[in-house]
Amino acid sequence: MSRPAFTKVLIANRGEIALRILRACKSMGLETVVVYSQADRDAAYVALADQALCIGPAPASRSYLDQTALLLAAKASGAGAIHPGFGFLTENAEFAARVEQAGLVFIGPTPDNIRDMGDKISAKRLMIEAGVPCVPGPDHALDADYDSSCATARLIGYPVIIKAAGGGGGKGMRIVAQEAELKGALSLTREEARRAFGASDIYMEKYLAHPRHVEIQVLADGKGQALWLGSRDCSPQRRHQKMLEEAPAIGIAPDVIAEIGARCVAACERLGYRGLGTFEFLMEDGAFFFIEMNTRLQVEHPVTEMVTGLDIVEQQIRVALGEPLTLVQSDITQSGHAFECRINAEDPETFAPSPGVITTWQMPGGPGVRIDSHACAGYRVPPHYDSMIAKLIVHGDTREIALRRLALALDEMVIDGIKTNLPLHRSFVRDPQFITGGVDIHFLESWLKQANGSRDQQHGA
Amino acid sequence: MDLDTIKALIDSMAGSSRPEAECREGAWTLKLTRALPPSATQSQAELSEAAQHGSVKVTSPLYGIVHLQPSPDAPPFVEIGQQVAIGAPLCVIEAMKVFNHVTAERAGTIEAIVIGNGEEVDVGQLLMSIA
Repeated sequence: MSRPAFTKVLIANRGEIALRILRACKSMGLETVVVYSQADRDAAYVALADQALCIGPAPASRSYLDQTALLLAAKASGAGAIHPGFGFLTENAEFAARVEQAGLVFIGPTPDNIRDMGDKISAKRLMIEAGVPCVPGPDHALDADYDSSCATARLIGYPVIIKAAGGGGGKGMRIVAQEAELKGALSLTREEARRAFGASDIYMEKYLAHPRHVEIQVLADGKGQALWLGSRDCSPQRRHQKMLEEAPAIGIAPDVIAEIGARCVAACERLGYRGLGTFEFLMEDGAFFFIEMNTRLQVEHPVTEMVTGLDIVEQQIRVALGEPLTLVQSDITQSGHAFECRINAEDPETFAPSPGVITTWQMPGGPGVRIDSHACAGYRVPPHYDSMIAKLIVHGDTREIALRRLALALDEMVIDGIKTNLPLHRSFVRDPQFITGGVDIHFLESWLKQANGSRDQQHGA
Repeated sequence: MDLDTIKALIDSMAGSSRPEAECREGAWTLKLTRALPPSATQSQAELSEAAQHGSVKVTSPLYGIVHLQPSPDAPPFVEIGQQVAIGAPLCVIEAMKVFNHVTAERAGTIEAIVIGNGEEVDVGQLLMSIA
């Protein structure tokens, strides 16, 4: 089935990513429609669009998450496609289906793709079938019967982790260290899953103690062609939220990562996958374990852009326009190393949100430095949405050069009026273990504990 | 229904005093609602006068959105005239998906509530007073 061509794109998102998508559309000669809530009315990127429409009041539930308002805005503006960005309605299969039913193009995967990967158990089953290595544990939901869950846990070996099928991104999971804790953990996770995701299906996996988070970026045209665009390491996380990412993931033999990449490509072809996607893995002792697939453009896509030289958002839009992939796998090369720091409006010690007016906004520059942000001096960071206000991205011929540029750029950067996590980034990128590379997903949290501990001592507490 | 029609309807409603309008055309229904000014129960001036009579002001610890109820269907945390103990929850200030509870720093009677539910408040902005 051919998809309707379009010349005008409605950007159903806000902030930094709305501007990123707007830039990609303009570079391709596509017209843009930006929709905004009353809280984002004065944001500078709104004025850059060919057309701007207010879709509702500040709360996301009444603006960026209001499917009817978005479809009406598309209809009223004559847009032929909707780009969901990330977050909000990006991985909502019902919305993707409604967009297509309205005769518009959803710039993303098919509703079926989103549904298949949204249910973590069905995703795991599909990955096992496609030969993608998964975390040890059954590819089906746990029985309500305690004895059978107990037998499963013994078979896997403690510690195990219990997860909600409808969860993901760190939500709805519980680690069980020993059998005595199992019964309580099962009923708690089941109850949480029912309340948070509307379905009480849970499943069990081996809990890995010190893994790295390594992910593979894929691009597929939905016509049977797919590519993998290299790896990223997103291990520095706090409460399952990524803080700093790099590409490529270091310390992995080229043939090992190429084999994982090829398996992800095979899975995309098997699924009839369309658009951008990310296969997330835990990597421990050299082995890879699939955890979930994100069916969207990701926050950290720029590090892949820096090392491959591709405009990933443009590639995503080309697929949506129905163009077959013209690139082949051997065209994808990776040059140098890239880092991305997520700059958040939050207290660097307590992580309390810090919305408000930015009084000073001084951005770094120089070779290999890129800033993706919608903010500026005088901009009022609204309290209604996510705290990310900018992404600092750097590239260098080697990891060492990129790291030096990163530290320098962080030092140059000044944001006043609100609190940001800049001081945290500045000291983290100078940590000897981070500089060596390959830290695990728990490293940042233990590093923070230590940093806070030594600060308390200094203050005589 | 095209953009010009919608704009014309918005303009005509802006020129009237109607709080709400609805119109239908074919399969379309368009409902226009006027954003009402927040339903503050007492003016800031009245409150500052009250404050001089020994009452305690409750201010917002951060820039965020005020929630006067624990959830949309629940009754409000406190109402005017209600007795509160130290530490009693008064309201919640939401910022970037983090919910911060504002509690009573002293026992007393809720004298005034000067902000409306869902309103944006600045750091240090007056929320309530306890007599």
